[in-house]
Amino acid sequence: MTSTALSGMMIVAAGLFAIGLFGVLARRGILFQLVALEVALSGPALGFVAAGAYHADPQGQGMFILVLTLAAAEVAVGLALFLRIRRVAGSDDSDAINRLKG
Amino acid sequence: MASMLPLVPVPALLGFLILAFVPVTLSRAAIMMIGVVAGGLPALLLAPVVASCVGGGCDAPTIVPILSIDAGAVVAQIAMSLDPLSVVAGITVAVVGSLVLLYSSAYMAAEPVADLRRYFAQMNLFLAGMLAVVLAADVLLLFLGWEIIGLCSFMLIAYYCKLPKAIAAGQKALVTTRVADAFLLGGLMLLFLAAGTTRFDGMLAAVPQIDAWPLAAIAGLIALGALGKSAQIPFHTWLPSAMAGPTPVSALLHSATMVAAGVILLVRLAPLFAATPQIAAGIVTLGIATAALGALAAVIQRDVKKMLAFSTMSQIGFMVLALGVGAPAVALAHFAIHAAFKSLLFLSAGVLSHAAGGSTAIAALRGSRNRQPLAFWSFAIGAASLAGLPLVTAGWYSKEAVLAAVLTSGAWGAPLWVLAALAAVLTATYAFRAVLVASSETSDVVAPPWGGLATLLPLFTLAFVAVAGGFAVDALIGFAGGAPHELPVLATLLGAAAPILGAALAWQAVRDPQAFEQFATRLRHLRAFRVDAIYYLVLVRNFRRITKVLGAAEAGETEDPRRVRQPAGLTSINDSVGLVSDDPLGQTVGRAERAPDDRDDDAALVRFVGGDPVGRLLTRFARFFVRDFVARFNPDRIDQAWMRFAGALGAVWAEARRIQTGRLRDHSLGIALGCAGLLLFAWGTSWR
Repeated sequence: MTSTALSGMMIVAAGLFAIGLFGVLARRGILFQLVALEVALSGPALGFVAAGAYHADPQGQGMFILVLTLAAAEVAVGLALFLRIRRVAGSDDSDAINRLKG
Repeated sequence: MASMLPLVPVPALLGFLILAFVPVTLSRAAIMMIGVVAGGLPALLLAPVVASCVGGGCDAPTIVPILSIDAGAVVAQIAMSLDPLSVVAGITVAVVGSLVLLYSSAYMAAEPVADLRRYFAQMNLFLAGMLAVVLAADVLLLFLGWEIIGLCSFMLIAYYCKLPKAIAAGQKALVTTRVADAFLLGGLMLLFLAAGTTRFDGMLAAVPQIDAWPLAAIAGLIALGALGKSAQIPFHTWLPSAMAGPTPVSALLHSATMVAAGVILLVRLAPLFAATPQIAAGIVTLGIATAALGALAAVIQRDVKKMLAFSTMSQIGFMVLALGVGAPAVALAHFAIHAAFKSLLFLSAGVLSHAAGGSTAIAALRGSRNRQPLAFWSFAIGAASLAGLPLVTAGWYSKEAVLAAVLTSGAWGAPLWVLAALAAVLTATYAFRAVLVASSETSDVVAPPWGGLATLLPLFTLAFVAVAGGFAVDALIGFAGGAPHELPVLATLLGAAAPILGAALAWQAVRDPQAFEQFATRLRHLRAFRVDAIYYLVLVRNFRRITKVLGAAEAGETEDPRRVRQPAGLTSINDSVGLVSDDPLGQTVGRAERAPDDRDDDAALVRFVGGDPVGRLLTRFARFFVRDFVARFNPDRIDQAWMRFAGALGAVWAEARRIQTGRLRDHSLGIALGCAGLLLFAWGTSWR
């Protein structure tokens, strides 16, 4: 893999992350935010894989598996929280859940 | 063993520091425990050192350096010395001090003013200071200890600090000894300049090289300083009024500390006086005058503590006499023996006066033999030793040694011996008069028995030394480097007859009290006993006049200073410390104790330091400093800016609180912004 290809990959990865971040910031539904978070996580994951391939180093793929596991755990916990929050707050609007405000 | 020497005063000093400065409330038992243990440890620490020294470790004097200050041309060294003098004086001070502190734990508990923490703290500091004096190998440590005991004597004499008389007595002791200290400091500085060292051994080695007149000036100044501390004529007036303190304080002050410090210094510097015969002659004169006048004054006292005070003066006079005639070892031996029997006398007199309802008048001791037999016999043993009862008491041996040294001292030996023997007769008279009064039975005062182990143990120990110590006198003199003086048999017999004659006079005085009272009254009017009044007329009154004039010109103060109000309930304390009201000294001191008028409002100044312009200098400087420097920066701009900032900070935080919306999206925006910031930072730092 050439360094140009790496740069391209990195730009794609940054774009994925930016899309995900935008989703988290822009959507109010918790479920959509969770989905956007998944997209955001895939950005760095792609970055790790690309960098690993560029340096011919398996650590990048290792990190990808770690991110994958993290994403799976996050989805599991996040969905459980989502169900619980919806039952308590009666809404899936994340802005409505602001009882911790200062 | 010598390396243990610097540790000796440490427990007493630690005891002082704990009691004085540790901000924890201590129970009475804890205070006594700390005070007694800290007072007793120096003796235990010193014991092995003494044992090794007696076993031959002192054949060559050992110097233990503690601290050296390299000041260019000279090296000032703080060091302790292990030699016969420091060992004998040190063990005497440590043992008597520990016994007095043990006794205090019982005595002070029964006192009306029982501020035990202050008392034990000051007693421990007193002991530490005196140990520093006797163990010092250099003038720095000696002078440090010297000033500590001076300060402690002031604080302890003024222990009953609600009593104007006690404070005035403390003040008198401090001022009088300070005057003497000024002489001493001058002498020591001149000696330092001449010898170029602060160590005694170097100073004494340099003595032969100093010219006659400077040497005489040095010796004279040092002698004046030492005599002032030892309450010799003409500095003696503070000692009788020092009786305003508690009895154990008197016991310590009179036997092992304070007044003994002068003798120790004279012994330490004995070669200096041996090299200056004219100064030695002056010392002899003052010593014999004090011995005789002190004994005479003791005979006519009505108060047992005052009597013992004059007795101390007189006995210290004997020591000074021995020093003057060139027998420092004899003076040291008499110091050790005197410390034992004089503290015994004071401590047992304290028990007797407690049993007599708190009065220290000699007349109030009547019936003591039945009320407090143990204390009475202790007192009798102490008195016998003081009087020098032949063969059976330690006092006889040490007094005989002094008399022998005087008689064999040269052309003036015989007349001096006669005077000293007469003083010995008077000594026996006053000592036995108190005993005879105490053993007569007329009193029906019933007092509760007073005394426990803490009282009786010191009494028994000291009584034992006061009797059995006599067999150690010759060894002590030899150990300290002196030779026993051989006396003609006639002189010995006459010396032995002196206490008997004194006892007979005492018997006569007690049997016919009216005649004695007439004699005493006539004697009390003698001019020789009016030194206090002369001091008042010549020094105190004129000084006060000058300061009043200067003070009035300065503060616009015209009113006559007002008398201090006497606190209520004073009379009972007054009785218990044995201040007799018909005493002309007390009246002088009473006049001395006046406070400035606090209506005048140049204000805090006059109220705090009075009309004394010299004493006011520091306060004036402080006021000038505040007015011209501190006030200049007041209001302080920097401080104001800080305070404004601090005030604004609250509003800032109140505003910043609104950032916390609790919304998930705001939170993630924060995360995103933070990430962006970090990325920018990383990009900025890695960019080439």
